Amino acid sequence: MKRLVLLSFLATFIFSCKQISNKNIEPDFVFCLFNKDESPTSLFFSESLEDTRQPTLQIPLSSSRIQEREYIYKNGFFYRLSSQTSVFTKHRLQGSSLVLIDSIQLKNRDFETITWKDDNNLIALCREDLIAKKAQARLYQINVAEMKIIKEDTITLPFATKEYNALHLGLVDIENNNLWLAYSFFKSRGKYGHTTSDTTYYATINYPSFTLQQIQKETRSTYPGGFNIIQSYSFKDELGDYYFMTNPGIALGNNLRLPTAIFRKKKGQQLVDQHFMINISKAIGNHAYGIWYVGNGKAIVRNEQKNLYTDFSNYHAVYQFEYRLVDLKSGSIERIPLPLDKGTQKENVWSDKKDVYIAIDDANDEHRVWKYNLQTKEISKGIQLPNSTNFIVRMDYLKK
Amino acid sequence: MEINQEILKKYASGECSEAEKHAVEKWLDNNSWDSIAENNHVDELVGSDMWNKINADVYRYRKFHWAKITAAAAVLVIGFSVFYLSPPALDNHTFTNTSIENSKLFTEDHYDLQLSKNSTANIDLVNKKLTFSGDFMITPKRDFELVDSNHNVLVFKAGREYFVSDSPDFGKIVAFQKSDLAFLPSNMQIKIREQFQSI
Repeated sequence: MKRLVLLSFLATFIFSCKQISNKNIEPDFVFCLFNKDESPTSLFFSESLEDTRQPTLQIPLSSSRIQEREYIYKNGFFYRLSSQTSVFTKHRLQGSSLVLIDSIQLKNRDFETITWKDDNNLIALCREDLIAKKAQARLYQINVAEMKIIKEDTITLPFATKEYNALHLGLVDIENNNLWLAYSFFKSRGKYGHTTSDTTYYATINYPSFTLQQIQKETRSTYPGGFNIIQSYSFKDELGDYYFMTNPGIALGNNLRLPTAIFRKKKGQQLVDQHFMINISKAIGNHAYGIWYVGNGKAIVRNEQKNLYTDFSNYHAVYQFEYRLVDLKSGSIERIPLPLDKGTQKENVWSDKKDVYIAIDDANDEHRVWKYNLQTKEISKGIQLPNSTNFIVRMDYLKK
Repeated sequence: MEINQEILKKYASGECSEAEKHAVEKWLDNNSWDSIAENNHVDELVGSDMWNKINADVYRYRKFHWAKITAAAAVLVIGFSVFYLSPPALDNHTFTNTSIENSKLFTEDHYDLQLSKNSTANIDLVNKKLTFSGDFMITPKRDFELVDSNHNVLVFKAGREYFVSDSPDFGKIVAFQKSDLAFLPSNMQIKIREQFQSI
């Protein structure tokens, strides 16, 4: 069965070969594309985000799993954890191919949240097996230059209840010897559904001794962060202050009574600022997912529109997503007049602090980057992606 | 061994050595990101020719295995020749999986079906009707449409893979293409993956 599907993918790839440049290019950006005909997910490299006739390169990925968009890009390398084999791999673009550089075997299949301790050391957290019915997280510190596990350990996080016993590890930050984790608990509902409890917990843990130092309870919102190798939910500003978002909407936490909100943990502090909260849901009447810093105290959020979807059957497919500019100081929120976008949890916003570039799949079946000037508020068109595209699920800057 | 378009062309036309054949099949089935080396341009005509050959190849491959399993049954050989001469007629099948742990795989003329644990499905291609309870993955070998019990028309295209479920967690009966599953909350994806490893 799989062979037939894969071979049909292969044939489609051959049909689409016309779009593939044979030249080696020096790309600054990469897009991850889901295609209309279910041909393999592909990586599309371009030299800029502008609407010019620049050389591009499209590489189909051999695998046809649904986790293809879940990769990490850092300093010229792509990293990926296989959900089938738990092998963590390192790849590089070489000429017009993605080349496997190295791999290591891990015990877990999915990263839930990651951060970088420094340029070479990845901190990745996974949820431990739920069968144990204990709220356990597994932490890996991987030196990606040497592709070696430097440290791995299990962390038991308190406050699971009999009812809400499944752990969601939403955010991780590391500063000096302090590992800071934001988490919440959820329970299954029905065969595939779930809902999150009303409380978020922030744990400070000494690293690398793993001694639990303190836990702060948060009841203003729930479901902190999310799977940040799929979408961004936190950032540090110029001062090093850490901002993050909670996502209790249907697409992530599914506890609709609580609002999507932005919170802050100031540099050098281990406690979340109880005087700071930007209540997105109250301001716009909808939940949002994904936050991207664009400089000068401003961030972009991506919000759903509850009057445009009915349920999960069409949530990802309807053109409903809007982009808003949030002023972190005043809390004011301004809608950017862009075409409505589709697709859940996309990583598709990048800024050079002068313009914001947003990749949108619009109702005219145009798959394009739009440019928003932060000074003049002018909107212009950027690069257009191939017509075979169904969803632009990621856009990464390659010079970071 | 490097997978490039030359090897893929040879594979499609059945000219690969055993080692090359093994390498291509490994590439198709793996879960890595190995990309194919693109050294030359393939035009659409070659692509379409190749697709036809691939289709034929897949057909031969499947039948070979089936024949191997049931090698002794000469009657099937006759069945095969009939099969080769005329396209199989539309059919109506009922599938049941009473297992409470594992999914069950069915290979039919017009589709392959992986039925989830504790599920049943009746797929009536003649009257274009679908009645089922539970979940299944279906890979059509031809395009067809089915009308579900709520009178929704579900469209299935050859070569694609669909997840079909009547779970109220999705709001209504859904027939998601496999890539749509990537947009569901991760917990849902993990639960679906527990039943259908191939996603």
